[in-house]
Amino acid sequence: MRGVPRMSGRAMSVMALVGIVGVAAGHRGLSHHARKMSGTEVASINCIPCHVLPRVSGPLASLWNAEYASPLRLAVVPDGTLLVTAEEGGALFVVDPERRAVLDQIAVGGQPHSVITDARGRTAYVTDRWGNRVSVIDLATRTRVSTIPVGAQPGGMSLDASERTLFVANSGTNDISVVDLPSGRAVQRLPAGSHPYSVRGSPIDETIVVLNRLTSPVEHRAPPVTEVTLVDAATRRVVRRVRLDAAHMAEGLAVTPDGATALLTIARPKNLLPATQIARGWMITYGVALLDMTSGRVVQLLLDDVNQSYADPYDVVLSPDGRRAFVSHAGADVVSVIDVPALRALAAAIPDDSLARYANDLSASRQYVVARIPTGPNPMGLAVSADGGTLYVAERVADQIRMIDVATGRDRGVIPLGSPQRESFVRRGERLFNSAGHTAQGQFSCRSCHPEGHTDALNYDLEPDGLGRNIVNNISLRELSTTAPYKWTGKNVSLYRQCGFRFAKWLTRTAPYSQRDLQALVAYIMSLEHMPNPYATADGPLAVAAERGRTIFERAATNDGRTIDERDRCVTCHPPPLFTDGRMADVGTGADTDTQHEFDTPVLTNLAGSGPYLHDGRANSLEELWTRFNPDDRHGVANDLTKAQLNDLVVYLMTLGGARD
Amino acid sequence: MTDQGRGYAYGVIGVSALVVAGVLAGRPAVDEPDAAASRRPVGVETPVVAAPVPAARVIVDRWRTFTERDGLPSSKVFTVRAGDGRVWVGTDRGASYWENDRWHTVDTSDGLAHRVVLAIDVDPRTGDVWLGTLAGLSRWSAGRIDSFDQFNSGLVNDVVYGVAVEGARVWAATAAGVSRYDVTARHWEIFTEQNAPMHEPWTYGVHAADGLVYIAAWGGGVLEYDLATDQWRDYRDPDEEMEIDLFPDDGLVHDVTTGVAYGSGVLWVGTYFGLSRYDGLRWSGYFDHDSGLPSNFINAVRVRGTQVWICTDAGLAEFDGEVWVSYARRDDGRGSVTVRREADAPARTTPSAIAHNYVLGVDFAGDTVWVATADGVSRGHASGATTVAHFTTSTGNE
Amino acid sequence: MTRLLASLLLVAAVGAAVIVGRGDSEAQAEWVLLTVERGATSPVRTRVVAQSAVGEPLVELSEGLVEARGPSPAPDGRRVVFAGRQADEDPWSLWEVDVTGDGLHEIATDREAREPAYADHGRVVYSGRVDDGWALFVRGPSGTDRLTYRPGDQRWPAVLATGRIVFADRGPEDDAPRRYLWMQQDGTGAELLIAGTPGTHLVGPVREVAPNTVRFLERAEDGTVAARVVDIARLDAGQRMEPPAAPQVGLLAGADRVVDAVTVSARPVPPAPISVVDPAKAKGVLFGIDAGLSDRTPNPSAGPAVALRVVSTDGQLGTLPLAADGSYFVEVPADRPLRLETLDASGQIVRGPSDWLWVRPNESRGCVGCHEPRTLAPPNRVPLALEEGPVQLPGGSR
Repeated sequence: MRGVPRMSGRAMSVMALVGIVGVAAGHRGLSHHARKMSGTEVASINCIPCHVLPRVSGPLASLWNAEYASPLRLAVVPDGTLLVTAEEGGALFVVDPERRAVLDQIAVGGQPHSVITDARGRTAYVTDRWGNRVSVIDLATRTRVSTIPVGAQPGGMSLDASERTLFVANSGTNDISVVDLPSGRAVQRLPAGSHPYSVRGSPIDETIVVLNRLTSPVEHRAPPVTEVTLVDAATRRVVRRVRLDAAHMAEGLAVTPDGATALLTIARPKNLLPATQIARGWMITYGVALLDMTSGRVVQLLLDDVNQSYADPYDVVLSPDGRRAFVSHAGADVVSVIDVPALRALAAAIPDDSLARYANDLSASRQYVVARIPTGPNPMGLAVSADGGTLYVAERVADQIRMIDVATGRDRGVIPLGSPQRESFVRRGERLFNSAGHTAQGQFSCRSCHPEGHTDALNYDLEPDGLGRNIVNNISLRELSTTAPYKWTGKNVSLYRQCGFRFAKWLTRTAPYSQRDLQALVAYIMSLEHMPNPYATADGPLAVAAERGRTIFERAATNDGRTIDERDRCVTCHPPPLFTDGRMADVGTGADTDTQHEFDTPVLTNLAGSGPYLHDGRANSLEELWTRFNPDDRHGVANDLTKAQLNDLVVYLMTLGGARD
Repeated sequence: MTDQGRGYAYGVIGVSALVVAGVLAGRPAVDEPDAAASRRPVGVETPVVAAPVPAARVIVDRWRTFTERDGLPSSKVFTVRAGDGRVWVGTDRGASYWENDRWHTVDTSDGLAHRVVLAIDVDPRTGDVWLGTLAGLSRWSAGRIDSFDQFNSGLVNDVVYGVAVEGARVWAATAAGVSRYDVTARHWEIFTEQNAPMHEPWTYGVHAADGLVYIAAWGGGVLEYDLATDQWRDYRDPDEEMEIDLFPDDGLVHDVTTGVAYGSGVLWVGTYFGLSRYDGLRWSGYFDHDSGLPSNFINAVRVRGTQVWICTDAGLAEFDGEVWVSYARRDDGRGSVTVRREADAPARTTPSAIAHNYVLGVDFAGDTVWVATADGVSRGHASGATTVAHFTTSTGNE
Repeated sequence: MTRLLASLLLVAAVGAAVIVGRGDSEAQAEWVLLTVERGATSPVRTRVVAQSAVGEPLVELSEGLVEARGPSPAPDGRRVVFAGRQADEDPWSLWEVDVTGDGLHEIATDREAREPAYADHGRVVYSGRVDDGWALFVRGPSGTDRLTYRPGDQRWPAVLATGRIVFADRGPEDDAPRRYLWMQQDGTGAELLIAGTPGTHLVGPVREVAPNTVRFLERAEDGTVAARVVDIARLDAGQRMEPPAAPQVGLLAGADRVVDAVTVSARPVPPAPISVVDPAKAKGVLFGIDAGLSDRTPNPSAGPAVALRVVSTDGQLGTLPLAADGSYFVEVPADRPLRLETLDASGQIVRGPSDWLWVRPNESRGCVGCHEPRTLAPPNRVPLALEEGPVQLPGGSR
């Protein structure tokens, strides 16, 4: 018996030693893995930020994560209640501002966007960007009575005067669904600009204003041009298309009570200039555009100050008398208060040949911005109470509605929406993502160029790789957690690297994120998902063509029977599921201005909504990849394809990414 | 040669054809009968025609012509289409629309795919206008033009001779097959000899109506696509490309088809060798020597109710199945109207006339007739003073 | 000159003391740092003391120094840096001490140093004597770096909460006005911030009294002094304040009197952008979008500007052509004073010379125009000069 414990003691010692060595070796190995994968030398990187915290769903995710409502847009019902779309809560919240209480939550789908009501406040309509439909809500019973399928990723809406027709902006399919409400069917699609987002009807006639968020396709290296689409509700026709030159990310829209002017929030990016600095509006400026509803004349004026940006203007509402406009700056945590008569007077006084200069004048805001009201984080949707006395502000990542006295600008407190008080790690990252507080002079947030984690469809000239050189197309941040390396040049092995030191040095031009903030930001980015792909259908002609396209994508021989080298097949470099091999490749697309001609093989999922294409965004359509930019078959052997085969290949690519509910 | 390359080759042929057409258009009108005579088929019978038409049918006797002097970008007008409150014309220097009593021109500086506009159709649901050009298909939508070509889109070929809007889809007849674009699904389909009974992919005209789409294939007869079944069938000239039609009612008069129109259950096909009619049971052929057709050289056909209007190189004709009315321009600039039931009645003179006898297109806006010609576009209406009955009950010119 | 400077300093100090007395955000301070004039000495001699509250005993911070002034607290609310000297014949240098008076030590500098202020990470920015005046330097763990390269004087640095350094600049000419410039902590991006009110002279450093709000003193020709508060975000003319009243301190011995008062409280360390300066490089880049955009009147006898000349203190560095859109792109020696002037085809100056500027090694400076309104954001277009690549100066090759 005596030997046993001695032996056991030895064995335990050996085992302990082995264990210690093993743990130490394992720890070293894991540390090495963490450093390698993160591309950083930071000791505090461990498994959790990458492998645990970004998970927002699953049985255990609630331990470290939480579900938040994320109020986005608002509508006031004539009886005084407030309707709030909860973008991440999947519901329409009915709120009593008097009692500061949530009266009800009505489930309306995956990602509610906008809400409007009829004039008497009996029915509400809510768009669901995830489910591609409009929910019809009976406000008396607070129940959903029907859903109406519309185009992809519906956003803003407006009713015609008779309230029998609903116009819905489909940001995913770039058109406007015309819904016949008596029959509950979308009967027509009108082509819009790119990413139609907000809709408002004129208070005096049947004109419906549809504001498109992103630039229409333009020539490579040309400034963005964003469209305002005017629809006549009576004839259901687009009657005018107005250009917002040099502007994009147009999200907020209001029409003055006299119907004479539409106020639109805009960003004016400087993507064609090398980003040598960001002060004084060298990266993005933010403002409003005044659209004369009669003549179509547009005057753009900035809301920024000379040395302070007010990033990401998201929504605009007017006081009932039309004399004050309120603009929420989602990245600056501020509501700007605008003296509308002063703004209109200035706009009217600017001669046409001075419009471009005024649109860049950072001092003009002194003439019409009369106050900046601080808000909680990420103010987005706005509404004014029926009596005109209270401004409601949806503070998205704070999950609350702030009330502000319209007359005095005083804070009247908040209405919490019942989300968890604790800020999860991913939520912290989401807050940082949406805040411009981490850029010099508050110039931009991550969202400024990556709305909802996607892309703004622009191409940029970033500085560190040379002025006027190495133009890069902005890409989506969705579903890229496993697609390292990052940047078109593949220089960043991880998102930590991507969003870290060099990002601060060359882009935000201020102190880098703290380690904890960086980890939270990366966790949030890693949690981003694509919207359902509107082109991924299980059946129909698109599916048939896609299946033919798949065989072309995977083919190993040309039409005349020649074997295609494995390196020259589409599927070799673009293997499923994300259709990237994560490697660098020279596909003959390098320009004279590019320092290197090898680029990171891009992900191909949800491609239809992420144009333009190629590393510098020179291709406005997928077809051009082969008809223009692959003359020598270096981007896969494709020149033998018939036009019909090429079409099938394009359809296949458009369908990648899968449909999800 | 890749398909894209082949398309270009066809495009060149198409351009050549246009040049020929232009040369023909430039010739004096007096030459036209001779030119037509050389193509005249022989051995034809007078066909049996459809329902009788009231003798009160009015004649278009008031014409106003618009040319470059009136604001058109060019007087060479290839096509005209009325719709959504506007009248559109395609010329060799852009497209133009008539609105608020003046012409508004769009050209390549506005984004038009090419200055030569050969075909136009208007989407009745949206008011959008689709324009077929020598270098792609353009969409005009409330002033904005989006252009689709074989490089930036799935369009099979840049030379677009015919356009037809069918529901949410747009059909384009091109020099290398037919494209169908589903505007909502952003899906381009291609129909060529590979997947349709298209003996010749050089397609000249397309017309959609009543669940059917007809394609005029230049040298390939007519193709019919049934939207309900997604099935094709083809109609050929049993004599194939023989320039004489041995049996005129045995099928299409010729495989070189230039235009199709379908309405009231009747298919009309224009060829360079006469007009064909098919009612689903039997074919009929019409020629200049045995009908009111001014010439066998037909550029386009268009249906209006139970009538068909035929654009020829020697004037314009309308036919309701019983009575032919044909319009021509006299050398002195006045108009000449001929009515034929079983035989020609004496021609009458009208103070105004269509712009030119080389007629390339016709369309209707309410009671107004718009005619595209080689030297301007004409707007015509009936004063009501002249009816078919006048030709049968009285004689002499106005 | 020294006397004038001293009197200006005095005025500045009194103004600053008033600012404290007016109950700014600094009112929550735990300590007050005082520059105290020692009785009736001639020339004026000052010392630095700290006081935790009115009526509390004074703590000598400059014990053992014959003269000291200009204390500046660190963000940690404990350390203080000021300029002082141990003997009359010594040059001024920098001294650091705990606010409690412990640990006084000299911060070595290689030149006469004055007006220190803490930047990020314990670094100290100060004005140092150079051959032709004063320039700003930063002293940190890795050594000393000169930040400014303009002829004349750069004095009185103040580090804002945003991390930017605001300093007073005056050209070498006798009548040159003093203005406030600002720049990043690595000396990049220097540009005019506040020119001051016409008819007055700026005196002393700016004090940041609220986020993005600075206060400074202006002396009119008649000697009266007023404070001005400017919102540097809006960058408007600001608000003029009443002249200062005497501060309440107490416990001063004999004829001693307070000439400057600064509060001490912990505050966030100012963020500092990661420097783009690469000491291994000898050049930086200047590019401008449109050299013709200016609010200066062009030389009326000159033709249109076609070239840009770059001049340094020791002569011309070279001339480069302007691109057709007025843009230019040039690599220039770093850390040297530069001026730009536009020339017409005959070499006549159209506009210029510009104000003095410099680039740090590896810095890229972009300009909207040449002496354009400072409130103008750039237009979003590709400057043509970027397509050609930079012109190398001196030399002139691409």
